Amino acid sequence: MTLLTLYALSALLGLFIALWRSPRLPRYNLLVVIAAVPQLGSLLQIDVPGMFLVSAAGLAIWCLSNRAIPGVLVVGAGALMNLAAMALYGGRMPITADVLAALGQLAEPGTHLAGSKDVVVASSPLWLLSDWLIVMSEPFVLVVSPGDILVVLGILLWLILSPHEERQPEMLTVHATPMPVEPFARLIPGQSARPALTRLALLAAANPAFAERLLQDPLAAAAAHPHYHVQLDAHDRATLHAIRARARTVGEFLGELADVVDGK
Amino acid sequence: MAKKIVRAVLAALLVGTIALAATAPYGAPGTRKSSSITLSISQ
Repeated sequence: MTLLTLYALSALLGLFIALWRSPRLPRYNLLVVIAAVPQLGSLLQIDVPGMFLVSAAGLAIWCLSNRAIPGVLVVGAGALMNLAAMALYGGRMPITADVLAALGQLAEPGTHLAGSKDVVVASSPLWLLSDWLIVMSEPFVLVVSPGDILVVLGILLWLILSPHEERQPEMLTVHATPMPVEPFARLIPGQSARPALTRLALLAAANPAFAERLLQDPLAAAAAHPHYHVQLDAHDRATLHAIRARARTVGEFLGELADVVDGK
Repeated sequence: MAKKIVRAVLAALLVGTIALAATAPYGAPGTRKSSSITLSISQ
């Protein structure tokens, strides 16, 4: 039960960090839950053959699916180191009798240690990946593996370095419908004999909303431009009336206006 | 704020589950060494 308490404490620490940093949540977290079930069984001394592979596969797929999140690949590397050592001993983490002896505990090789995933071994070819780093001794014993340290480091990296990006509130977004692209006639550079109409054409080309108003009522739009006053003579007004009578779209209106400005 | 708390709780549950699934430490209550008193009764 002591290890379950440790896991609960780490979750509590994670809660505080998550409240502070609001991390990005990974996807497909059901895979982690599936991977945890056989490990919980191992803690409770319930060993089901083959379930170790479920843990390994679940963790591997989860890490690959979330590899873009900082720290997840570090968690994956740590888990891989642990699972590699455990694969040699039927899904149990080796701990050498010497390490236990250093803690004042005696156990025969082959003993499953109650309340943990460990099995006692005399020696192991992968001893470097086994539980041998004594973090705490009396009164609470805690021995971890290098893989455990990487997993904890990866979790901390995820919690601290992947802040969740808040979505922009709906009220602040602009819903604009793009205008259909129409073939606007291009003005030919040079002096125009119709300077007032040239100014109107340029203003309309720069501002589609103003072009729409010109199409509806060219004289009123020209007179009421908020920034530029366009002085139209009688000839200009007659020309605008004539164009307005023929044009049905903004594109046609501007095309004809450009032709007049260019003297065509 | 409520969303932030819910996200933090989910993150905390995930931390505990990842730790359970991916780590394999050995933890146990220590065995305190205690002095023993031997009584001998001599007749």
